[in-house]
Amino acid sequence: MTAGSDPRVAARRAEFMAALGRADEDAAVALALGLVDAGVAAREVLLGLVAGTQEEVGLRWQRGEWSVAREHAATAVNERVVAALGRRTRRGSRGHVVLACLDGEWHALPGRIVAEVLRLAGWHVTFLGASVPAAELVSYLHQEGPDVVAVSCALPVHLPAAHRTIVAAQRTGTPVLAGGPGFGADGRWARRLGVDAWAPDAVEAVRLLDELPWPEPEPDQVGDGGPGPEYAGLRARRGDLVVAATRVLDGRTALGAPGGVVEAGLEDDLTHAVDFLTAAVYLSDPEVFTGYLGWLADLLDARGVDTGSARAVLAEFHAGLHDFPFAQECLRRGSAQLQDRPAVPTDGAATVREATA
Amino acid sequence: MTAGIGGGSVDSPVDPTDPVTPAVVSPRTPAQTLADRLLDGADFGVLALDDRGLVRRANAAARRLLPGVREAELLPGPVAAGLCAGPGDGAGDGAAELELAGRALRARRQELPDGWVAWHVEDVTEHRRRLDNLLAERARSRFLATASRRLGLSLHPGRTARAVVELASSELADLAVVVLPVRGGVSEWYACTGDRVASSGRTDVADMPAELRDALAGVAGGPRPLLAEDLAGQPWAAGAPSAAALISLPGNGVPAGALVLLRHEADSAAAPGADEALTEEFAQRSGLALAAASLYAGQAGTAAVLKRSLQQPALPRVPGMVFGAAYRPAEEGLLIGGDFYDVLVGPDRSAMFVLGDVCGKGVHAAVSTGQLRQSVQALRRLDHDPVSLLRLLNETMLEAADPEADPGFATVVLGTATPLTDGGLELELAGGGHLPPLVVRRDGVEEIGIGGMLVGAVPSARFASRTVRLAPGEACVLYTDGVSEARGGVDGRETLGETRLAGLLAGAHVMPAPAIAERVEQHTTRWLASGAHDDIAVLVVQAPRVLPDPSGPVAEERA
Repeated sequence: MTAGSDPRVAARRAEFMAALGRADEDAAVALALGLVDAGVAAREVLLGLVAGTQEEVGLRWQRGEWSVAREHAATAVNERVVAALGRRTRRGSRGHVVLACLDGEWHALPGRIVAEVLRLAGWHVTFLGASVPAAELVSYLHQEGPDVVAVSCALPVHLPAAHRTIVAAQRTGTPVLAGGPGFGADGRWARRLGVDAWAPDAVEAVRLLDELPWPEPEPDQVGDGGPGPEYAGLRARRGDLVVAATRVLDGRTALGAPGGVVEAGLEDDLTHAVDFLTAAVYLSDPEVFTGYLGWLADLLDARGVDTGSARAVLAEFHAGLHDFPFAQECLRRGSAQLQDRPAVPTDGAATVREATA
Repeated sequence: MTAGIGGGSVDSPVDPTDPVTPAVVSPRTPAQTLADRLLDGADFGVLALDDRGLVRRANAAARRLLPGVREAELLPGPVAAGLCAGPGDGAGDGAAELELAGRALRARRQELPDGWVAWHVEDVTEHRRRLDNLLAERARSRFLATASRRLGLSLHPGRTARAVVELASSELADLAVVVLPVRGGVSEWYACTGDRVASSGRTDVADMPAELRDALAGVAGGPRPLLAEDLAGQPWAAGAPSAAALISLPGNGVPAGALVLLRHEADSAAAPGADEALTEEFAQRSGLALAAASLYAGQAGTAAVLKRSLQQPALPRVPGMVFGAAYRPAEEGLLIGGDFYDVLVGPDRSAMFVLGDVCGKGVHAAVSTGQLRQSVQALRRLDHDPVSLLRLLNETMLEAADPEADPGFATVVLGTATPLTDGGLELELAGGGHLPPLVVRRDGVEEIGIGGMLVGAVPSARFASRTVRLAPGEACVLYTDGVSEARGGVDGRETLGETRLAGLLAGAHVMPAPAIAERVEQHTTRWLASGAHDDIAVLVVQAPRVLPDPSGPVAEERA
């Protein structure tokens, strides 16, 4: 059965979404548990209702319909729903899986949902939560000796840090299962980082765990002794690039945040852009950067902001990186991509806003 | 060793005792030419066949290496088959490898005029033996190198035991089993077959064969065979092994476990013990790894129990208020640090909350936080007033302080929360030299300056308090300097600061308390970008939000 196909789930989805919109934990939990009591499989509720509406929550924020605070509140309610569903699942006996979001990765809900789906499949699962430092994960792996460690990553910007965690986990002799869109839609970056297995979703993760033990993974392809001098150089230039780009935007940038809550600011957004570029260099794949720009352009479109400022920032990065051929190639492709997008009428206030908060 | 040109006994073999060397019956003996003598002197065999396949010339070495070869006769069956069935057979490259009378031979074919053929035959037995030994030795080193690398990875006894059986079953046996030392009358075992099917379980010491008990007790050492009756009834001894050996794995003083190697086929060459030296070396390395893992597990287990009392507590659910918290110690692998928080609920459902920062970092600071939290728990039975409580805490800390040790003062915010009838919350906050809490109002963020002196630094220190009322949804955010003084930003040196923190919290009254705490932690760690940081602790107390009536219209905040 395809996950999320139960008509009883679809029928209550709008009601559940409204509860999320009000951050009404009690109503949302009651609705989800009610479905399970009515005989709907808990997996259906997790994947069809919780994961499905969470996607909608993200879209509403992206379209500027919901503020960051409201999105956070809705996410927090969905987490409580997952916890409430999880309390009904008995401890599994098949084997021990430790699941953690990689360091810097704060999107805990997808990992939490996968953890519950694995528990429903009979595994004993420990979920370590959002943004788990590599040192903490490794110390846990030595103490508990699980069969598999599953790591979740939602944004490719975290992949350099992810690589360190993956290597550290494998050095405890524990096979690593990677998941989440941060590893690329087809998992290509997961393979490049040398993970033992990659699953695009919870259902596939369950199937892969059935196949244990896995064959030895291919070694990672980030090169012997690290990702090369261009990566190190970019890390060192991070602050300079952001300062230069801020100067370029001066006077042309509206800093008012789109959702009511003051966010960490323009510098934070520009830093994020540099970090995506750095991740693209780390993985030797411009797609990491152009994928981010595509997402950014959609976001700007949804808010009626044109991409002129974004292109100005890319041009400034390009000018400041003449010793970085690969980074320049990423920036060239990124600019071409933004250029090709249809123009959007604006009210004159151009922002390069990015907010993963 | 052969006679030179003009010597007499050119046909004398290298090994005169070789029984397979035929007597020389050469029709052309009297007419030995210089070329014949030269050929007989060579230590490789030369064989010439005419167009009919008859041997026309075979030098001394050829007669020795190819038994039964006679001049003027056809080649004996085995020789002909070996020469024709070489790897180059049919391919025309004219090379053959054959084995005759226990010797490994390499032959090269040479075409001669008139359909004649010559074979040059070389004895490669010794060469091949050396090569085989070298390859075997290399395989052994490779196996041991792989074993060392894999056995050094984990510090978990079960995982290490699993690595031992996986390695052993890949090289030394069809089924490998590790039985760990007996604890409380039972023993854990891990098994793995050659095709990587792993299993594990527990077995009662009473059900073990005596040999295995002895090996685990350290009474019996080196490899010894196990009999079928010993294996009967053992959960891991699946199938019908043809041979089994038991090796004690040396540990720290006592064995770190026992390794059982089983073979299924009756293949004597592959029986356990065929390569005793390799097995012995592997057992040594496995024992070391298991002993290290067991030592670490013991230490880590002790540390975990102690640490649990120092870790931040789960937050209670209290009617009329919502709590949320975030915690990230400076030493991230440790999970404990010098920041602490606690929420205590009395029998009358009144709640007391505390957040603080003792001077120092790491384990030493964490121990102080544990003492401090216990003191608060005990002292609140004597007094409910936050300021009096801080005074008592101050005296307690000063009395308990070790005069030899560094002064162990702390900054603390301690408060009580009382639900109001209108759904709001009244807080009484007492300050002990800590950063001012921030209150998230519906219309902005307010800093609550309290004042007060450090706790545990000087006798009769002065403490102050403030009363704050929270409307539904409004929240009071307590945090430590790991948040406000986080260094990072664009240039990596700027501190986050209270202004930025206040900006971050504006409008957060619509979020539940745990989401507010996570938001602060998330932005602080992003601000840090990477690198070292101080302990980070956040505690949020919130008056429950009033949710809009579900039947009414949901206000959409369309931008």
